[in-house]
Amino acid sequence: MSTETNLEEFVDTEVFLRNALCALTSKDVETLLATIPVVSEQDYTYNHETPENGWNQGKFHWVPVGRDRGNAGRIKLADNPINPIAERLINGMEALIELSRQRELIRDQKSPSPCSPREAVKRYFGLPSLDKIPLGENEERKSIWQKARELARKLRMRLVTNKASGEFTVVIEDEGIGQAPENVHKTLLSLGATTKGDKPYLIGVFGQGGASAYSACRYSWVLSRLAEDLRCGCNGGIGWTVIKHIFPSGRRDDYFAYLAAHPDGRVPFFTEAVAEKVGVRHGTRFAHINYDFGRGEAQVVRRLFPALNHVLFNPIIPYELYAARDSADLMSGNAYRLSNLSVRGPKPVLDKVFEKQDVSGY
Amino acid sequence: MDSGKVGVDKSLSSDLRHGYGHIGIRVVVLQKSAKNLPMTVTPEEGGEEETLVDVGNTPVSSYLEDPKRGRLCAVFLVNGQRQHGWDNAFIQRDLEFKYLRNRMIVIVDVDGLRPEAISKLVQGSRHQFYEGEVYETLRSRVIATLKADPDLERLEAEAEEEVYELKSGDEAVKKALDKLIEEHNSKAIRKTQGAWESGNRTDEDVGGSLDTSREAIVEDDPDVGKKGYEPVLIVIPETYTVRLRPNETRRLTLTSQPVSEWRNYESMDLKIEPEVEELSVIQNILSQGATIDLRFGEPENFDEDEYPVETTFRIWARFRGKDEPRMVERRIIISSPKKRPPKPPPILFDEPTYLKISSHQPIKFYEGGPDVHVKLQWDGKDYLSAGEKPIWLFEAKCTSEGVSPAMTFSKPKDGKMELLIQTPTRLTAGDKIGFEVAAMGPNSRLLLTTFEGEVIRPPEPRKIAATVRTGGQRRPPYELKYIKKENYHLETCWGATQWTEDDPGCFQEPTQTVPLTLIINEDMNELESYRESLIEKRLAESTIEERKTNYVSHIAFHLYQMYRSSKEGRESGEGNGNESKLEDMRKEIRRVSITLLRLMES
Repeated sequence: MSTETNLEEFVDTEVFLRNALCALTSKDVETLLATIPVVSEQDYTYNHETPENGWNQGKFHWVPVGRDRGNAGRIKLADNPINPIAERLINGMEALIELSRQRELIRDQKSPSPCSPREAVKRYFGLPSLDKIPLGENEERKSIWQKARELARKLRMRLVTNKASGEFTVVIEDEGIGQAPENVHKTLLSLGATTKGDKPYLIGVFGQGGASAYSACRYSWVLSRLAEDLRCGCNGGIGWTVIKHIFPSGRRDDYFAYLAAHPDGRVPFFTEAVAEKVGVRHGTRFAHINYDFGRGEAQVVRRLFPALNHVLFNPIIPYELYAARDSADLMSGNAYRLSNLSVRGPKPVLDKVFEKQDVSGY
Repeated sequence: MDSGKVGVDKSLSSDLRHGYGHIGIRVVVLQKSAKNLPMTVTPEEGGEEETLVDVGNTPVSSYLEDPKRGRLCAVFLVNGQRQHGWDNAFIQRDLEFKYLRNRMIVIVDVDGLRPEAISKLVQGSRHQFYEGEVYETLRSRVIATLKADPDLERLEAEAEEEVYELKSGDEAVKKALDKLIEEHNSKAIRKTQGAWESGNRTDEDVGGSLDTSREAIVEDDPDVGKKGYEPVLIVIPETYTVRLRPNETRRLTLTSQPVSEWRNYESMDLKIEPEVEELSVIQNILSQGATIDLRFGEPENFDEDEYPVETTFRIWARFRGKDEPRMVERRIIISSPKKRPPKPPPILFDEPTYLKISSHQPIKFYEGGPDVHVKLQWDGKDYLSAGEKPIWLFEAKCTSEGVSPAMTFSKPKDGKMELLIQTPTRLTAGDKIGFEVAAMGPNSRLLLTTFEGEVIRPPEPRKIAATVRTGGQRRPPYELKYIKKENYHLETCWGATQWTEDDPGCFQEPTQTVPLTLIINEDMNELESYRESLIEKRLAESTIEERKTNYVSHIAFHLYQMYRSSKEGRESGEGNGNESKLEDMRKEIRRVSITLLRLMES
């Protein structure tokens, strides 16, 4: 019978957590991983039927994401560097909505679920579709934007550049529902094992869009903590792991694996006390380290704004972007930017909407 | 299909072939100048600044993912996330709004599609839709909605006109040159009756005009004349009546439909009937059409009571390989400007009192055509019909039996909106259809209006009998070009393979497709020195520009005269444009240029 590998046996977990939050280069990650016992991917090959076979007690092992050795085909879906980031941001938006929905259900179990993500955002945050925010300088607009700004602060994307190593790191953090450590491998690290099918207010369905980010970087460091009022006996600590791309020696079937603490796939965790001490609140944080943008810093920063505003053209929730600097830009998408031209000019010569165009088959 | 009403979600069967749900389409056309684009946009009151780096040169650049390639200016959104996109070739080829392609963004929100339809579109990669049956239907719907949009058509026509204006370039020089030529010609005696040669105007007093009745191809309704074939001539803007103000130039654009046929253009004749002495017409042949400038020069002491002055102009054009000439006719009304005060903004109420159709009636439905846009107006404030649960609802229904086209409304803006009607199938030309539009408010308030639609076949090439002018022209068309040092090797100069800094200009004889070309050397040494001397004298920009215009127009005029003389010489058998003649002309134009510059310096 395998037992869960306990981080506390090897390191000062508070220090480790603090360092993990600052790990922004490949070297940082490798230095931290060197302080804990990790079985090499060449020495442990995960088998879905018998994951315990070869498991070295008291050590951490690399387990395929989704516990599927053939996961590369479902992860390597990105055709450019921006889409995975957008997918991660979408995950963050869903986490914010789900937190509100679960809290609503605590208050009233019979409360009907919102019919769409936009309806959910309207219900929980009082935000209309961003491109439909009332125009003009009026109190209604100010009030809505106040809400939008507050909400955006709960979903942040940071682009960090390291001049010495020449690496980019993309950090996406939300203050959403988060996950209990014992569920991280079933949710954040699953592929296609959806929990969203009966939730029309969420965006994704198969829960694997964000996973494409793994293939765009060298390491991904994920930390997640479930919101306190939703724990219901679950672990109040922080589940964490590192994901990397593995190329088995002499084989062509590469795959993506994460660091597991137990053969059933559970991830390591920091205790509730350590989480409190370090001040990590609920939500999820993905740091995609050594992110491959395929170009230099100036170009990356320059392209990030238009590209994100284009891919998330009319995001259901605005978010903050820290593009290689300490101050944030509020990202509201191009649909809003176009609407805003009517107020701040140059006014478009035409801005026309045809709602509900019937699309009939032949 | 829908019962013909809108404003209510439809009950659809589970068979996707009969209905995929609905989509929202937003079209935004930005102002022309990229300079107007803000480098930084402050999104919110007191909020953070969004730094927008200038990433391209077109107005939509900062709204595109990759502005350099004009990529994805039409986007398809699922929950606000782009899942598919088209580049501006869609605007150019499918919508045929070529001149709006760098200013237009189309946003298609597909959240209203049924989950099954979305599922068939969206792929795991989320990068693009699966281009199957649902996609094709969606694509057709977007095109049908936007293709005949009157606002987009108007903006395209405006943009096209401006582009033509730009292409014609250096208007001041051309006007000056035209004036020189006209003044010269008015004193000249016409020697021969020429063949058709396109030009400024056809004057009966110069002799040689013979009117004959023959067949011509026009674009007209299918019941006019006999069946004809493309190309046809079209005038932009596509209004039958051209309105002119005294002393104001109005530019029209003439081209062929299809435009590609213009490459076979051979010649053109334009006639004003009845002739209006004060009306000047200047035409300029370009690569894809021609511009026609109309101007009514009001004489002194012209009696106001004589307005409006009415006439028509007819243009005949010949195309290589086509027997019949192509013809287009427009009515011209010249009237003095009535000083109207600017239109006040419409007065809108919380309790609207009327709803009316503002489109010209009967509404025309073209067989198999795109959606028909019917303009509506009411005096209700926009918010009354906005939002998910509007206070007022609009409904439209077709009152003719057995016809139930799908109809939707555009979002009201300043009391104006459009009813979009998908052109009904199974109707033939001549059928009439009745429609009723209702605005329903609280307490059973009802505003009602009706209109009639008529199904017609779209205009097509028709062969008609018409009077054709076969007379000669006073001056041939020309094209004015400039050459700079870096392009000296690209053009020949008086038979030499290369230009030099001593050459002020040359002409190139017209061919079947290219008019007489007058080329001016902008980097000629003496001209360069002259320009520098003007700058040193700190003359006003307008003065420098005026002198440059004088120089260029006179050199061009001299080149023009040299061409005429050379042509006449050849026709009379005096010479064949041999090398020594060319060399003489090269020296002659240099002598003229230097003399002119010296005169201007003094």
